[in-house]
Amino acid sequence: MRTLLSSLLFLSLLVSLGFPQTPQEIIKKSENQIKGRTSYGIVEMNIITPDFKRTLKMEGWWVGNEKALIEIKYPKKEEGNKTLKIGNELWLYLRNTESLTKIPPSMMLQSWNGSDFTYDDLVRESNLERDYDMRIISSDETINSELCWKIELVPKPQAPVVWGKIFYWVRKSDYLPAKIEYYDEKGKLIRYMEFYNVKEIRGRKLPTRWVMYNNIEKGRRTEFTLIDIVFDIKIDEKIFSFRELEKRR
Amino acid sequence: MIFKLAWRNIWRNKRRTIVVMLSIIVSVAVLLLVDTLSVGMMKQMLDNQINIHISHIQIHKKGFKDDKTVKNYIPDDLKVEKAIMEIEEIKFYSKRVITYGMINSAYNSSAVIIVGIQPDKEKFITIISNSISRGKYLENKGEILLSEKLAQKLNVEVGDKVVLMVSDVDGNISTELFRVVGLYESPHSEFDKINAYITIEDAQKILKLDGKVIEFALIVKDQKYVNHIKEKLEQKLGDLYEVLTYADVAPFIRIMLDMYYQMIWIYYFIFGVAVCFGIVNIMLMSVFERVREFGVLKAIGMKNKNIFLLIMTESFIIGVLGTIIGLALGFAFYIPLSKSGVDLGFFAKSLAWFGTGRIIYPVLTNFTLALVSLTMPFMSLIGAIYPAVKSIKLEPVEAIKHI
Amino acid sequence: MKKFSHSENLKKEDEIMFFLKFAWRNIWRNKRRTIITITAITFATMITIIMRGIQLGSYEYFIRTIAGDYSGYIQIQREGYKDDPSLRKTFIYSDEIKKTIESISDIIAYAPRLYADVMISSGENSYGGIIYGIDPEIELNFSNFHKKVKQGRFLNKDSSYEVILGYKLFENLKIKLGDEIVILAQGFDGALWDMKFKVVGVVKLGYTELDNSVIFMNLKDAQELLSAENRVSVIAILLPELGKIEKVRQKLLSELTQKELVALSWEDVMVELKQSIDLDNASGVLFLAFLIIIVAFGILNTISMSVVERFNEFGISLAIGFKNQKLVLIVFLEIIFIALIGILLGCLLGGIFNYYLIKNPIVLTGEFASAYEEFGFEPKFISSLQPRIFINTGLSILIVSIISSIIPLYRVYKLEPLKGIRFI
Repeated sequence: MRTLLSSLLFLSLLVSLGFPQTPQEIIKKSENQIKGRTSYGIVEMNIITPDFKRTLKMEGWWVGNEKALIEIKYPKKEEGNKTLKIGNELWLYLRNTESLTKIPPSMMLQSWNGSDFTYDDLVRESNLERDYDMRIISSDETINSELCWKIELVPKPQAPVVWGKIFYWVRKSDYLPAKIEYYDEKGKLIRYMEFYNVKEIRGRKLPTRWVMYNNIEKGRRTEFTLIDIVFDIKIDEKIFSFRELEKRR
Repeated sequence: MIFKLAWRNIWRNKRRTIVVMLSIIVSVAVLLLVDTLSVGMMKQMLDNQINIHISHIQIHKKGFKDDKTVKNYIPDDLKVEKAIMEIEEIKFYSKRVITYGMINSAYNSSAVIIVGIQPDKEKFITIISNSISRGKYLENKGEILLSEKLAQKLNVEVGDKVVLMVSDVDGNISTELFRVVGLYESPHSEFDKINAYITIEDAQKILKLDGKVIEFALIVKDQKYVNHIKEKLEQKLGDLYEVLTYADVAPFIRIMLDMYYQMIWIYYFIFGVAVCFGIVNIMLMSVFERVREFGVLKAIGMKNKNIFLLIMTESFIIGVLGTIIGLALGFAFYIPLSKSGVDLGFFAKSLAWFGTGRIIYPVLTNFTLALVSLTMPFMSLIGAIYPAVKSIKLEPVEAIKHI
Repeated sequence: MKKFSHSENLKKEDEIMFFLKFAWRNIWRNKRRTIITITAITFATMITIIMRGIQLGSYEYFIRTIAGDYSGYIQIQREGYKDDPSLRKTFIYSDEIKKTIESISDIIAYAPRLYADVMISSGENSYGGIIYGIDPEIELNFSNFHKKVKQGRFLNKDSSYEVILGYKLFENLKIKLGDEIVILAQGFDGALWDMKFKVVGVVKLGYTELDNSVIFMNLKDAQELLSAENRVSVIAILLPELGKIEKVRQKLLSELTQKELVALSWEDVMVELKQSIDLDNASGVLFLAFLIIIVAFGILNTISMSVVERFNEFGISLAIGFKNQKLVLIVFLEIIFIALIGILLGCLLGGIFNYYLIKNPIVLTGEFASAYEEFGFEPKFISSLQPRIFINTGLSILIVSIISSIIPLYRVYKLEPLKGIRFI
């Protein structure tokens, strides 16, 4: 009798853990783990190319997908340079010349600070749920010895995204993202992102090293290391104004 | 009388006459082919510019030519349409929206000129619909037509998607997904590098133009009257609009054609002079050979004037006969070539750069025909003057020395 | 024995001299005809030399202009730069490279240049641009950029933090001369760096693409902005003449010790221009070939006539034991004399004309000129005195003359003594 009960209990637990969840829910949950409504953080960015390696330290404030401000703290030469995002516009404040510049559309696809990300990547709001159809294609894949869901994201017909499909691995144990692969329409892997070093920062568990690998130009990658991050704090909207931008901190 | 005599005379030394005639025949045939090919090449260059994109007449808001921003859209396109309808010399017209933007694939991005067109109407304006190398011509919303060159750069094929990024009429960045429906290849490689087509509705949507258009492209019934039609349009439309003919849009080619017509006679002249030497030579020979004969003719009452005329006529007959045969020979080449074209594939890259296409179709203009028909008869008259003068002045006694 | 052969030789020489004299006298027997034929050949030679001169001279001028401003006759770049012209493919402009270049005596000038895609901003307006980092002093004698300044002035060697902009870029930025603009660039180290520059001039180069984007600045400023100390994208090289390109290129290839460097000729860099020149050249050569053929008909006629006229004379010569071959030789020598005189005179006259045109080039004016200027070229007709023009023209006309005399010569060869006499 007890065995029956416990196996029933076990079954129901299994059901609640695995089956009722839609891929949309999994992705959303995973995205929310690393993004808050608002956030503030200090990030180190390493750009590794076959020709050079460079390190940047940045401080950033984010309000949803709408607004963001990123200020460079290191190296000395670039200290004080700021990138401001308002909606889908990008502004650069350049400390050396004390000038404010709006990134013109023709420059949006240029690399941001030499990384594997373009200005457009920063601006384009990634709304996976709106742009992609999703399905779980495997529930027992292992990434870095963590059991993961492997979710296939196929862009909806009219979604303005260049990818043919995306594979998204989410850790089953804690819903943290583990890996994301971006393919073109012919099925060729263009770039992929891996998440490492899951740690607890200010009470929240999240991967602290994110690496974007360029699969076309082998040997190029951009690494982000989270030094500090706080979610859902109150951010003064004023910092996203031009006047504030030009103020030296 | 003189003609008959002249005709008989020129065949007295067949070999000599035939050789000099051959030089005329070759000159005429070569000049005909060289001139028609050159004109054909330039006409093709101009026609291609017109047919690939420019059309005969473009209408914009005033100032668009110098500042091609979306903000310079046509304020009242109904007014323009009405004006076009009222001019019956206009055969076709089509509306366009043109803007600079970026095109983005998973691999690469590139600057493009985005041309929003009315696919059904554009068919009658440009040859792009006939230049599809793969896939289909643009039909529906959400489709984009790229050039082979751009597709190669972006590493996309028919059916793949690309994302366009433009800055709309308010200056905001706007992005939109498009499916590559087909690839085109025009004869002008520089054009292909940067032009992509979408439907005008899509273009208006991403630019937030709200039904406004930027350009009207017109094809007229007779290209000769473009300037006349331009004036008419300007009158109807007033100061707010700019009306441009293809010559205004692409002045360089027209100037090149003008320059060519001013230079080509030099080539005719050079060949003419070369032929002239041959004429002088044989006419002089034949005059010296016939000094006694002329003496006899004079003795029986033939006037100097008539002897002079006789020599001129002989030479003229050679010139005319050579020209007729030369034209026949030239046409024997020209007619099939004007249909099949001359394949200059060896210089394909250069020709694509100029926008002529690798196959050149020779074009015979009235100007060329007149020049090629008249040069050699004229030069044969010039060449005969000296021998004819000699024929009068020579005394039989002196002439005997020459035998 | 020795003596005998000597006298035999002497005899032969005498014989040749005799033939030469004989032929020379013959061609002057009918002066008028000979003069007309010589004039025709002179005319053909002269026209060919003038036209080839203008063609080759214009190509040279064209290539010189383009090579000076853009490719150089030869350019040194890092392997792969041609396909991926990015900062990553720049190279160190070392003293060793300078020494290597300077050791090659055929190189008359060389110009280091650094190119990079940047963003330029006037505050309100920002656009993408291309930096041309140049050494103003070198460029004065190398390129024509300084001649294309429409407003303001060009850079000088002391220019620092000054730029010259393409006129369309200047208009787009909506600024005035003397205004400051900000240039933002990703440097060689990947770092984003911005600097202020003063706009001191505006150029119109004639290429829409460049007029929309070009930003000239001092090489050292560009290197500072791009954190590319001592680096350059290309070294453009000028030679005194086109003919030396391949030789110098090979020499550079073998002497540049830095493995990654390559030396490309302008033809490799500008395929379309090369083909356009080839096309024009081919059509020009074809035209002149036909011109020479027309003149050949004239030669054929003259020779035929002079031979036929002398058939009786030849018949008598044959009858008294003269051999056909010797008659053929005499007629052949006559042809050579006539052709050579014509060719030499033609070369002389054509050469004088070409020399004059080189010293006093025809510069177009008016509408045609503006069409050329639209494309960044000075509308100029210039000529050339390259030896190959004279050699090729002379040889072609000589060969065609000989070919056109084959038939008359054959008739002399086949002439029978009796038949010849019958002509009287």
